[in-house]
Amino acid sequence: MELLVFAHRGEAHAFIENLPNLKAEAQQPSSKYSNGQQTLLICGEGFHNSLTSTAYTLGRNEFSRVLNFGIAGALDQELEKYSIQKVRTVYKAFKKDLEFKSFTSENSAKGIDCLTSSERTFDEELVKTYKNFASLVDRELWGIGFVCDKLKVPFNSYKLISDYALRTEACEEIQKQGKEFSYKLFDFYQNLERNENAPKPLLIEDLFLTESMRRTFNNLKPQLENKYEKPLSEILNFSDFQKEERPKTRALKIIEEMKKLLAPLRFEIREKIEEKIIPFQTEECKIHFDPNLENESIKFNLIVDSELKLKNQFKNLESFPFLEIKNIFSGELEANREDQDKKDV
Amino acid sequence: MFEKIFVEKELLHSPQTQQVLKRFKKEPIILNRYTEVWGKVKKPYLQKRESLNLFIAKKRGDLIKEAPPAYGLSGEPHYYFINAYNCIYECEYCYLQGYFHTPDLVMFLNHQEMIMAMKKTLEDHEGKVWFHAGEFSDSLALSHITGELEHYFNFFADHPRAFLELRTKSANIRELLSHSPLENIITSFSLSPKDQIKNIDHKTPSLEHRLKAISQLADKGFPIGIHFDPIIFNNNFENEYGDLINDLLSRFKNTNQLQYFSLGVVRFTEDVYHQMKKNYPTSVIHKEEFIKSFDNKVRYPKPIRLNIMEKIKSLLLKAGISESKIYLCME
Repeated sequence: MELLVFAHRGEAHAFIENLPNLKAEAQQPSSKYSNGQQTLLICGEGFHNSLTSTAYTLGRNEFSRVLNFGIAGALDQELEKYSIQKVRTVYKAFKKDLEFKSFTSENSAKGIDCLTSSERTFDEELVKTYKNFASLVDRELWGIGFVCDKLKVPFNSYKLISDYALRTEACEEIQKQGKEFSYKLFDFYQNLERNENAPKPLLIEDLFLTESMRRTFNNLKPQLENKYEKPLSEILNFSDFQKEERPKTRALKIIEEMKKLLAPLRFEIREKIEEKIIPFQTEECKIHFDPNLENESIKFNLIVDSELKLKNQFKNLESFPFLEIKNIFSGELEANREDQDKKDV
Repeated sequence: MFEKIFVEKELLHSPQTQQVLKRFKKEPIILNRYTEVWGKVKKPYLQKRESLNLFIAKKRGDLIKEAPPAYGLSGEPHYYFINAYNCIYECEYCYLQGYFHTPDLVMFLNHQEMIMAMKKTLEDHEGKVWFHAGEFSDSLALSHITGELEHYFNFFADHPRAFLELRTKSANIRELLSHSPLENIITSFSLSPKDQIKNIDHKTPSLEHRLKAISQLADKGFPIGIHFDPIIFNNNFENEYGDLINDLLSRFKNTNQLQYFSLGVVRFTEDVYHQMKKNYPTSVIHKEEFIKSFDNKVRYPKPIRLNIMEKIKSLLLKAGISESKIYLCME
């Protein structure tokens, strides 16, 4: 479902009139309409209003994206009046002070930058400052961008240039033209190409993922697909894991396999080291090394309850292949590969 | 090339500024300090593709800084100086994408002050002192516009104890060729296998163009340094670097002109790594795994990176490069 955000009712007028089956929903302090496909929010003027209303609405429902439509003033005299511009990045200013944080819209390759101002009217000096950062000025978008960034919902913004920023006398004219502007925005909305490749929630049948496992899975999946240049279903055969009946263990095994596929060389090196360690591993002698292979130290945990056992442990460890393991850490992988090949023969 | 050009008031009438402005034919926006706009807000890195701004400014604060360890041939003092921030190229691994909060370019034009600082640093040492350019930008890419090389050639000609390294990925040697070579000014080229340059080093000259530039400089007697940095692993890297080394060395009558080779395996600070993942989610760089290493930088696991460096080092040794000319960077 899309969330359409407007600052003023006037800007939303054509949408309310023309979107099918819209029903008003009680939501204070802003106005909200919905038809199951689209939700339309009139957030009120200024970034405090846009921030709180958008946060409240996005927090209560699931939306695939947010679309902001509205009018904006041009800081750049070369921009055509009454044209509709896609916003790329939004900045914010409180008088002459610029907020460091900025937010970038979805598919931001084309578009121009917008600055959300705390001020309603501007003097020449302010326009000069703002022009260094953006070509458009509005009063709400930064608040919408802030919420979308926090909630990881993509946003787009389309601004109709109502006037140039210094023309303060223009407010009345704009109010008169409100409906006309709204219809222009609505026409634009209807012709808007939707990006159907929006992120979709991942669904894997029968895969039990705890929240942290889901995060790991979602993190590994695109990396694997990028590495092998094919979808996960072609990289990993999920049916191989069906033997494992416990869903959580099955999911853990899948994740482990994904990690292995992502870093085959590291797993290969780890296996080489483990092979050298295994003959020395007992219940009383546990040997550990850094799984990231960054730290060369090897840790021995010995359990001894007599002097004899201590002596035996030390004797057993005399033949520990420390140098061979150290060489692996130092990058001598081929020598070990050759040893392995000889063994295999 | 640039959407807007900002100039610090103090520098507006300097001949160098005028030279730059003449080149771009744009009305400048005047600022007291470039920091009034540059880096004031977070401007997404990839916007450099559509709207890159240029700032002409004066470098303030420390003009010469001590270089980090494992920077250049060991045993000699190394310093770097900052003549620009940001770069016109777009390499997917570039640390600038997470270092500054804007891709906009700053040209610092107070070169005489930088040279004075070099002179002072030189006086503090006996023997060779190295000064490196190109820590935060490409040293040669815009050198024909800034005209700055002249200042440095004059200074280094009179100070043979001082060594200058100009690091570059460009093939823009026009300005350099207008000077006579000096033994103590080394132009060092970052080279990678041709496919890597094509796929990852966006907007940079191709390997062939860089090799031609190297060859032209070598013919005129300019000392050359080579950086194989960053080395990015793939299953064929040994062959690719073997071909690269053969191709490079075939262009030299006498490889003694090659002053040094530095080898460095790709590495990132955490910020840069995350920024790179965001900017280039499908980059081939992500095909191999990274871990957080001893200094908190994100790198390949140690056995892998040491193996890579050792293999490339032995390729160089086999090709007849003396071991004393090879150093491992940042490892």
